[in-house]
Amino acid sequence: MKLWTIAWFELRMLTRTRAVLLNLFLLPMVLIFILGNALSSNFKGEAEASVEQARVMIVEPNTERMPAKEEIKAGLGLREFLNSPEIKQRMQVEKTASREEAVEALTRGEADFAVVIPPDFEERVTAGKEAHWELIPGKDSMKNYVVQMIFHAYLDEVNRMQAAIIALGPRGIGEAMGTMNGLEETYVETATLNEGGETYSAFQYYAAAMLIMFLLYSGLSASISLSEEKRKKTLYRLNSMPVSTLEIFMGKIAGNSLVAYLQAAVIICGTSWFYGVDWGSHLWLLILTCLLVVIASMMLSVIITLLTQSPAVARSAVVTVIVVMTFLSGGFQPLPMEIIQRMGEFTVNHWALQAILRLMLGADPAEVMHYLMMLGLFCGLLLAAGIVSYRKVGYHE
Amino acid sequence: MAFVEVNNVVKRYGDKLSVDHLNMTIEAGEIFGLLGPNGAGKSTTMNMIVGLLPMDQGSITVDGIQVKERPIDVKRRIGLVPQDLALYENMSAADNVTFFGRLYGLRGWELKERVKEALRFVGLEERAKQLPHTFSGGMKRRLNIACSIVHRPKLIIMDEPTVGIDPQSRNHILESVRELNRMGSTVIYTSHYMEEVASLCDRVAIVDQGHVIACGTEQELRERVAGEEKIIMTASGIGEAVLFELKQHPRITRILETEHGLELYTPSSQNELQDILYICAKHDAVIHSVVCEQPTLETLFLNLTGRTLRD
Repeated sequence: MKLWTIAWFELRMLTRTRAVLLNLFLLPMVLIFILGNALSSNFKGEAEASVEQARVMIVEPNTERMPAKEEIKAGLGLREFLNSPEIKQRMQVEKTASREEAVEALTRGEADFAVVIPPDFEERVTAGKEAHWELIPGKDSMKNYVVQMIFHAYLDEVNRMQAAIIALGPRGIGEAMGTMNGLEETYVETATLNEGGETYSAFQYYAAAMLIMFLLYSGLSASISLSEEKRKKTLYRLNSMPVSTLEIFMGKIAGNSLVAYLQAAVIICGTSWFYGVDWGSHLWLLILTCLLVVIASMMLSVIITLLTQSPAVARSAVVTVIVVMTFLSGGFQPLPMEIIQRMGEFTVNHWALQAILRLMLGADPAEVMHYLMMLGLFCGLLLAAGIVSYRKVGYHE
Repeated sequence: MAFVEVNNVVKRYGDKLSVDHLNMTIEAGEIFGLLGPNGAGKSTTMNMIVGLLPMDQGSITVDGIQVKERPIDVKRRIGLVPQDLALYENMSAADNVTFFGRLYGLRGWELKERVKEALRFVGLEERAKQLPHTFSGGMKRRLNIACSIVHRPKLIIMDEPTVGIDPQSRNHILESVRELNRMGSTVIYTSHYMEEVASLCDRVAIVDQGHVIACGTEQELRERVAGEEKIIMTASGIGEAVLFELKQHPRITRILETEHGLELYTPSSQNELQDILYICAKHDAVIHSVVCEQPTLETLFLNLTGRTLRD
């Protein structure tokens, strides 16, 4: 009962300071808004990323000698491929005489990409021999990426035919052509990857990452509160009252945890209402994730606070640990380096973030439970370390 | 049976003996003073009575309850007024008292009434809704007391409650202590201020180096140093010759050099004053003032330890 008196008092103290309220509830919302907007281009699911038409210089052998129908029968179909409406929408193809001219056009910025088809390409393909095109990228990485994708799609089809020729002999061309005629007419299909919930938006990502980071920061409030009680000598008075030290300690942890849950509710509801963030349909798993993160956060702060001499050192240590864990887990930006990703797996943030992202994507609860089990393991270890620290150091003047 | 019994208590901090086989008894309804210099063991003793510190040896009972065995029950009976202000600055005076009242188990209507009563008692009823950081030092001290008496404790322990405050607040606090005692509380009062302890307490224990060196009423203690009066002399030009001649005087028992002159101890100031003034005049020392004092607790402490209380 007295534990709840202390917890309630702690909650009142925290929520009556305007600066604390702003930090607890407004700051995460603002950060999610800024990061969600500013870094949205890093997320492939964003619909607003558009691709401009690329100017492609193509150096090809003289195809005038062969009528289009014959060319298709030969298994190449390059002209038809280049003239299809979907390809024209993405690429403006211009022929040039030599590789040097194509490179010069790229250098001058008159072209975005160049393709060099060797003169013996057709013969090698029909003979079932190895054949290559030279793809020369330009300055725009997005356009390079799009053009490469288109030509790779075409070359994959050519390779498939070549494989048929090698396997079946000259009559394989007809077989392969037959199969080809049954395929889609175009190599390009425009779609939105995010449709069907297969990936998340920047807002979803940062809402999850910031939720975890701010829940971890709630441990910092507990650390400050535990230290301040000593510094302001109120702990001395509390110890002289008919309340056990453990009740005082747990009351303060409970009060700060209540604030953290309130903060989680505000972030989840706020981002859902104002930014349209979809947190998935498994609310209880989301609550369980928050619960585990708060336990981990409190224990982390308790260990650091009890084992450090000065409140300032404890504060710095807690902040540093949270920031490093958030960075390693990709909380500020998804990290490309595999080694950092591997290091991130040793953080609370990683398992919590992956669990929440999967909840957002509507993953199977069994899949999410794997991440929650790992998070639970972290909590268990931190809880054990927290209990050992408390038993060793205690909480008194 | 005494309300508080401290029997042969020992407390060590590493190799240092802080409380050395200390014994004392405090009767119910009395104001008991603990007098001693810094580091004498007063605070350690009080902390052990409240159950904040474990004792290495001995036993303490409060209201017949062993502190070692039932510390929470003992704490319920005690209101500790700490030397340092122990308040939440961003909570109102009433909220502070209410919070501590709740921790003493008060609830609902009773809690509200007790909070009002405590604030009225220390003269802060009108300021109940104000934050402590807007208070003067004296008002904070009074609020510090209100937080400790909200549950009407049987035993109030006050650790130097008048340190660093204005005379008006000091008088208010001293009067509050008397009033609390009249209302039935037993009070343990510690202070550096000998006059405070002498005027307030029914009995005084003088503590030095972890044990009680004298204990009794002020009158009883004075009698122990009867026959030693103090002459406080403000003077300039007191040289070695003056000091030498005064030390040779057969009835001057002790001489202390102070910032502005001398303190001399003698069985009878009236008889020796003539001689002292003569010696000073002979060596051209200029005397600005002379005050003769009857023996005090300070004198007793000096007599027993050879040091002053503020050493």
